[in-house]
Amino acid sequence: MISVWQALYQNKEFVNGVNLSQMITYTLLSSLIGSFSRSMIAYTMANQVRDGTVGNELVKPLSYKWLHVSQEIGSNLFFTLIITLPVMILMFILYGIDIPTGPLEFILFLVSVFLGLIMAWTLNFIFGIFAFWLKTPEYVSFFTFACMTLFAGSIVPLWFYPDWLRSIATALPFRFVTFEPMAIYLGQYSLTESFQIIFIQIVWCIALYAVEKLLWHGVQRHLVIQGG
Amino acid sequence: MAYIEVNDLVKDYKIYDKPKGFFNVAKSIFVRTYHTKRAVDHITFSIEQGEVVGYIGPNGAGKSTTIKMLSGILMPTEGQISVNGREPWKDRKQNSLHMGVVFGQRSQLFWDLPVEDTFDLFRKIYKVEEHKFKQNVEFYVELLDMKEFLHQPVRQLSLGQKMRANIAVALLHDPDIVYLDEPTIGLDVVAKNKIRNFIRTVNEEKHTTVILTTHDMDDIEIICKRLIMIDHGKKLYDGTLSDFKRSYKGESVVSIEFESDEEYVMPEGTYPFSILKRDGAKYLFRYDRDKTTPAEVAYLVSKNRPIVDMGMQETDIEYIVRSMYEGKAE
Repeated sequence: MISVWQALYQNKEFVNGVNLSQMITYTLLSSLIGSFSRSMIAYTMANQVRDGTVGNELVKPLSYKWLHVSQEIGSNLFFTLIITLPVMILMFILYGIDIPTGPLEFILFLVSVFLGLIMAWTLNFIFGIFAFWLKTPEYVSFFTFACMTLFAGSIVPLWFYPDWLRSIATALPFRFVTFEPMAIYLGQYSLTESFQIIFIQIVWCIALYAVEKLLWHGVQRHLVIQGG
Repeated sequence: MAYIEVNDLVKDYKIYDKPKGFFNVAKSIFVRTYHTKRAVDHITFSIEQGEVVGYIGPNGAGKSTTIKMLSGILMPTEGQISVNGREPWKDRKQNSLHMGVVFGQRSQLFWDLPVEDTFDLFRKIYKVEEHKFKQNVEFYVELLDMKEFLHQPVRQLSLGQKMRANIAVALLHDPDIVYLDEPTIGLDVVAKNKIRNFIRTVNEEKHTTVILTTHDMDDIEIICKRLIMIDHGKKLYDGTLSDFKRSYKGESVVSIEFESDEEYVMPEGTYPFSILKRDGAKYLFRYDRDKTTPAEVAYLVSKNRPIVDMGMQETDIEYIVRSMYEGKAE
């Protein structure tokens, strides 16, 4: 990915107001966020619905969402520490990473990443809920993955999107998972703008939480535990 | 108020019709037709704390559906359920803290974890006190004879070992009630007996309420004092096991094998039994359960011809249940 950006940047210093070292930083850090927000929730849930093991989970005094989210955090943490972080360090030595403009920006970045992760998990859980109706794992997880990659800008930042695609991505919540925290990190926003982003993230968190609760309530009514 | 009160319980499943042909499949994306299947049809019963109830019925009778509603993972279509004053579906988490469930066809254990670790995990899930936990683990390991495989990962266990571990896990937190959905399915006689004795002991010592579904009538005979029988979602019988046996009068079958395979001819006179089927030297005799016993049939037959073997086709209760299932299906 870094080589691709290097090739693309060969004759230019800035493209859409972003330079090469910023792009490298973006690629590296966004894959770090990506490896942490990576989620199989939708897939796991869909599978559990399909073979009926969801019943096994629901007879325990646990929140179904937190059961999955904590499993996810566990496996992502492992993945991040064992695989992503060593690669990161190697890349850091080879290419170097831009340091954020100031400590406040860095703190805002962390806050934004944290909110982004909450959004990512909620979104994944919401997609998982659809599995209760569709009862098929493949499409749900494929769709989730596609949304997360395309609209979150985890591979190509939204700056480089054509206008029409960018306006779709702007209307959707996914960009707050990877793209917006990275933009804060790279100093693309003023402090006021950064605070605005965080505010919007909080609003999205609340809205998504409400959607999730509503859907979950609906699912409980329609829940069918298959097999046996 | 009884521990469990079920009142006029109904559960409907929507079954979507699977269309045939490309055009109809394409159409079904937009308009899906379905019919409803009533799995549980106006069932009412109540169960007191400490009772052991056998919940039986043929496949697809609605047993598991009832259990799922009682355990709070399915919402009833109509009617009320109250378990210890709680509505299981609305109060799923609280309800599940006080119950244990074993689905015989589905393991609660973690495939790669040793049984011991699974216990520990469940201790945390149900927030069981350390002291109580240790006591229970010791008690169950002893009773269910689990010492030898406690350290093995679940994937290496036999079906019987897994089932024992599952039952222990479901009882770790001393639930008020335990739902056992076919806990002896696919097990050998020894393993079945271990489990039956265990359930009885737990019920006696801890006063745990037990609801048990099974197709093995020996389970019922050994463990349960009360029987609820359903079919097609409707309740057919609810009462004690002994009343159940007594209330049913009818015919039963005994098999008798003669020494030689010459044809057996019924002697002159009236007898309370008749030939049902012949297979070489082996005969099946039908007899009236009110008038005679299998021993008497064998005695009368053996007066004319030496016999080498005789056998009951099934236990009493099995026969009753089967004729009730079949009678209902006609």
